[in-house]
Amino acid sequence: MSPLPPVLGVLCALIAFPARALAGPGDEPPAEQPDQDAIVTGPRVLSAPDPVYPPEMLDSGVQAAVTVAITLDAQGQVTATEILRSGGEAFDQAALDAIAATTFAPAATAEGPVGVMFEYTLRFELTEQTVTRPAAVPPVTGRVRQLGTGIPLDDVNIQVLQTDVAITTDASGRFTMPALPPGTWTLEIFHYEHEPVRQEVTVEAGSTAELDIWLRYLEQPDNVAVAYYERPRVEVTQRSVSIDEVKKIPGTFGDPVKVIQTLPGAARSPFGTGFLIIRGSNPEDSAVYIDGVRVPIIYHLTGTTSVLSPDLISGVDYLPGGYGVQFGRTMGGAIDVRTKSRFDDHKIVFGADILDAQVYYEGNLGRNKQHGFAAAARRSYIDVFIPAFTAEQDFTIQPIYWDYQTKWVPDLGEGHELSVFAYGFQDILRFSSPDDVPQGTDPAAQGNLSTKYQSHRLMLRWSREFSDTLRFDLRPSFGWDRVFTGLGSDISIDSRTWLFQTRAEVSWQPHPIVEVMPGLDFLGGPYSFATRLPFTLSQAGDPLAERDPVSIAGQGTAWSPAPYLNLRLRPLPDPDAWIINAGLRWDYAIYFQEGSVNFGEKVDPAIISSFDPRVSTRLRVFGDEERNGTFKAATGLYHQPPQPFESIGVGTTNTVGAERAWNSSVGFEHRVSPAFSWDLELFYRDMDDLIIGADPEAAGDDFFVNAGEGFAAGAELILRHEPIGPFFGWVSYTFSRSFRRDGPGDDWTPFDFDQPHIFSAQGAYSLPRDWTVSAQLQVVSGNPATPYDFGIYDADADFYTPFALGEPNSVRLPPFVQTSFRVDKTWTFKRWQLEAYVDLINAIRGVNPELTVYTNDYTEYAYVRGLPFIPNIGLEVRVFP
Amino acid sequence: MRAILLPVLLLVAGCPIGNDKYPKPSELTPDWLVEGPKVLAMRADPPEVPPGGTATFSSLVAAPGEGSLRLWLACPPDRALPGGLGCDPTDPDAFIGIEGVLPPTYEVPTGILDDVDPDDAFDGIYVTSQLTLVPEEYLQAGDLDPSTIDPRELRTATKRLVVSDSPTPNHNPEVAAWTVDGIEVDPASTVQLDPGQTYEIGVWLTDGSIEFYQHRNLDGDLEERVEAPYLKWYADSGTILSEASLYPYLTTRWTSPQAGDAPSSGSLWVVVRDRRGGTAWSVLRWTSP
Repeated sequence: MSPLPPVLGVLCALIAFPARALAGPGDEPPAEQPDQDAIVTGPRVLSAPDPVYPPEMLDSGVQAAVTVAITLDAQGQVTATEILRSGGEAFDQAALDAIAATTFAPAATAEGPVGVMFEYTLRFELTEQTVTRPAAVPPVTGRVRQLGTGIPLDDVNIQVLQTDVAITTDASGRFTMPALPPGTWTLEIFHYEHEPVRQEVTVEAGSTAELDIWLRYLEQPDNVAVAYYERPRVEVTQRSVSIDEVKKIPGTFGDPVKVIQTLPGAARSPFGTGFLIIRGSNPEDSAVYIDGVRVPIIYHLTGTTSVLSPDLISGVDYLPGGYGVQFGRTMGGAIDVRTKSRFDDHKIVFGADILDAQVYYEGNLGRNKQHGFAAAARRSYIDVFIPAFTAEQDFTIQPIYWDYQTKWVPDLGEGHELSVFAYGFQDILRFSSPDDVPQGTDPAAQGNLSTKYQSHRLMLRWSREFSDTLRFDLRPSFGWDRVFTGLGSDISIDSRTWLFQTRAEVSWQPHPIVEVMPGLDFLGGPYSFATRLPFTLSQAGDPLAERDPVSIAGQGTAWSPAPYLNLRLRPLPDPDAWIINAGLRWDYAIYFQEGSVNFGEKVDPAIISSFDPRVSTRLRVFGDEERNGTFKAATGLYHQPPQPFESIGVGTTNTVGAERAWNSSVGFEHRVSPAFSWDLELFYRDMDDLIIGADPEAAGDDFFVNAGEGFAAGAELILRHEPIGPFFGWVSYTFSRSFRRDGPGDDWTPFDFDQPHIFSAQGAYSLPRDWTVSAQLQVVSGNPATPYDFGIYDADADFYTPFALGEPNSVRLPPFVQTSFRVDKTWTFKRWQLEAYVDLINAIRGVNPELTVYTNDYTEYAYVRGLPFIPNIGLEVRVFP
Repeated sequence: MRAILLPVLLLVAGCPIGNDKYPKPSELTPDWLVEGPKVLAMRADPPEVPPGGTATFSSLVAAPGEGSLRLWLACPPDRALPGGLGCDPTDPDAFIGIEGVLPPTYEVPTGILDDVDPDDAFDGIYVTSQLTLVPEEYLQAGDLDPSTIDPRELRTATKRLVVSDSPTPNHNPEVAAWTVDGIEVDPASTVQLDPGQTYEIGVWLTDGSIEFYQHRNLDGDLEERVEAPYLKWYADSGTILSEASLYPYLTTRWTSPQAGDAPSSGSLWVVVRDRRGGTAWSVLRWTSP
């Protein structure tokens, strides 16, 4: 029998938010306006009648908590409920009855109300019925702020226990309590995003009590849903990861882009390369975009870190294939890294790990905080440590990288958006040896090696929503890239490119089921290159040739407008139930070239033109927003122009055309519950006109010809648990085969990065007291390799030419197996946080062959190993001044 | 929880499963180390001939093995295999001799430059020579049946014989003497060295080994150039610290095997290439107490 006195049912409700938002009619944001998707106002309780403690349970003395998942539409109406944590049948029913009688205000993004799903916890507690109206004495005042950031908290519920006194804080986090009689009172403080606390206050006659209350933000709390927001999908295959997820995955150095390699369709890139190998395509066949603007590379030279600060990134969209006509000039996949456009109010982050250190600031400046601003800078320091390991060697190696970013986002009012974003980076690799230690026997190969890669971009974005059915988006950008390689005093290659890109798109919805999106994807600008070699091209490869130093220089311009038209149909009343995209893209490119590369002759410009029709569809075959099955399919043409070095004709017009791929995919997604889903997709990529090296005797002046063929086919599966509750993670498996040949009649050979089996599993679990543990396992087939059996010795060149008795790429390196663990802990103080982590990369298995190397006569071989065991220890300090 | 978790993670961390499963690059035989039959150099004497001239070929083969056969072929440019990979073994005219048995000699056809552009004739064209080292087991089997030969057991090497009408044809360099820590050593003798010691090993070249010659540059002008040879070092034991030396550096450092390590005697080889086809070599034999 319960010792408790006669009872009163007391409702205590916690709303866990942000929750999963559900796209409602007419509220689908454009695919590339991520931060307009962010929920800025959570759902709020407008009125909630007292719940009824189940009478039949009174005698039991039982107290209970019932957690209910509530689906709220954009009008604030409850459309679905589900018991997530039961308190027993009677309590469950009482909770549902209470929710049915409760009215809510809907959640909203910057664009207006949206549907959401969130958790709502009702507690049924037994307590003494002592409702007391205090006598008039001086009030209790105070302020509630977020622990760690100092942000004032609005809408915090403060209840004085054993009374009916309940108030909420204002926008500055302040509150004034009605007068309480002298004595000690217990306050219970709730806020939907924060850990509830109880605090005692002593009220004395004649004095005013001033309270300073700090609440801890619920990042991954037990029993409460957190933060995941699913972007409405319009592409057939679009996999997104949130920054919160990425940062907890071990082995990625916390890099959002790196985590792409754990998703289906992405092959493992060899250590240190940072290659994007998607659905059996070459690394150069996939494109990287930052806020929709194409950029040349996304990783620093170590291949472990992207060129953007993780704190500035709001998300990464991974499009392995079947994407629309907005993206082009590529046959493989696409990655769009989205940067933040809304910022916390003053946050400074200092971060350091074994590779580099960075500092990041974001805030809202101006009298009305109308100027969002962020800036970041990072510098590696591996070059400082490497000499300690090479002191005994006859060489020194110095890899150095740095990057910077800054972004300004003024608040121009509703329906109007402007941002200016600048970023840049530099990668340097220096290799040097003493003068009396030769680097090989070639006199031209002596001296220091230096490689430098620089890239800078200034990106603007202006978008305007003229009406509910008409929107315009403009993204001009300017950039400068330079690649320099120098060896000693005789060899150098220097290329510079000024790049002007513009992406402009109109979205017009003349009818609720039709959206017309004409657009222009323009890219072009001047370029130049200068090459200094100690020998002419005809002298190369002849060890006895007398050498004559030559300089080859060229400059020109390239212009590539690509207009496109996309038609999006939503034939069903539920606009997200069936989406059809049909588009046509025309890529036109013209290259002008002049300089000594033409031997003084005037050559005609090279012109490349191609049309890409593409169509895709997503059809929800059963279920609703929360649980559903969706069929998806896509097919279309993708053309890719030659790489820069393939585009240069020496003394003549280059005749190499675009490579072509026909990409098709079909799949099915099943969202089993709000937390769990699986996705299976089959793909086929047929490639032709692939650019290969020309047969010097057959091709005349051309170095490259469009003669190659290839295909890739496979299946991708991902099982995913969303970050609902303390756990999140995903398991992905890809079966893929990819082959190439140099032309009809040749034998098919496996693609250099053909990896039939790619398995990846990762998950993270939040423990009490802000501890998080996570783990990752990757098992991937080894890359193909050609087994060389012997060499023929060129006694003049002192060089062996390798010979293989088997076919090219006929053997495979041993499989790649890597297991990584991560533990992190966050300490939260009033205005700052300290996070420390240990990332044990490749913790269990330290040996993974990446490359076969041979003795110079090809009689013995060994494997170059990949990433060794790395205990990456890092610290991050987040200050909220 | 964390009291258990952290130690467990640290315990499993860094356990290199399979560390010895795969061969490591550091375990590969260094290029300078001679452990079996290996062609170190080929020489044509003279290295550059006019049409109608004759050249005799020889080779430096380390640890050749008893009874192996050095089979020589030679062929003009129009009958060489693509990529300079030697001569067609089925071409009956290609066979020019067996080293040690029938001196391999090639007589250049007199009209070989008739159809060649004069500038190219000045620079020279190449006759390809090919050396194939056939193991003795194939010789013991009687007639050589190409279908039964495992190409991995052969050692094949090629060299270019320059045919030109240059007024300054190339000559082979010559090694005059070895030096050990700066002291001249007769190559014909065997030097006594201490075990486990690092020596500066070098050679002197004969006068005239570094030649001046004429070259027609891209503008068509004649200019005088001087050779800049390089040296490659080989050993059958010990450790060579730098296997190549570029002129004017003609030395390297070599550490003799530690006491107790077999063998207590061995050879050092040096090959000199003048980058124009001229080649010289020498062998230094050593013992240690």
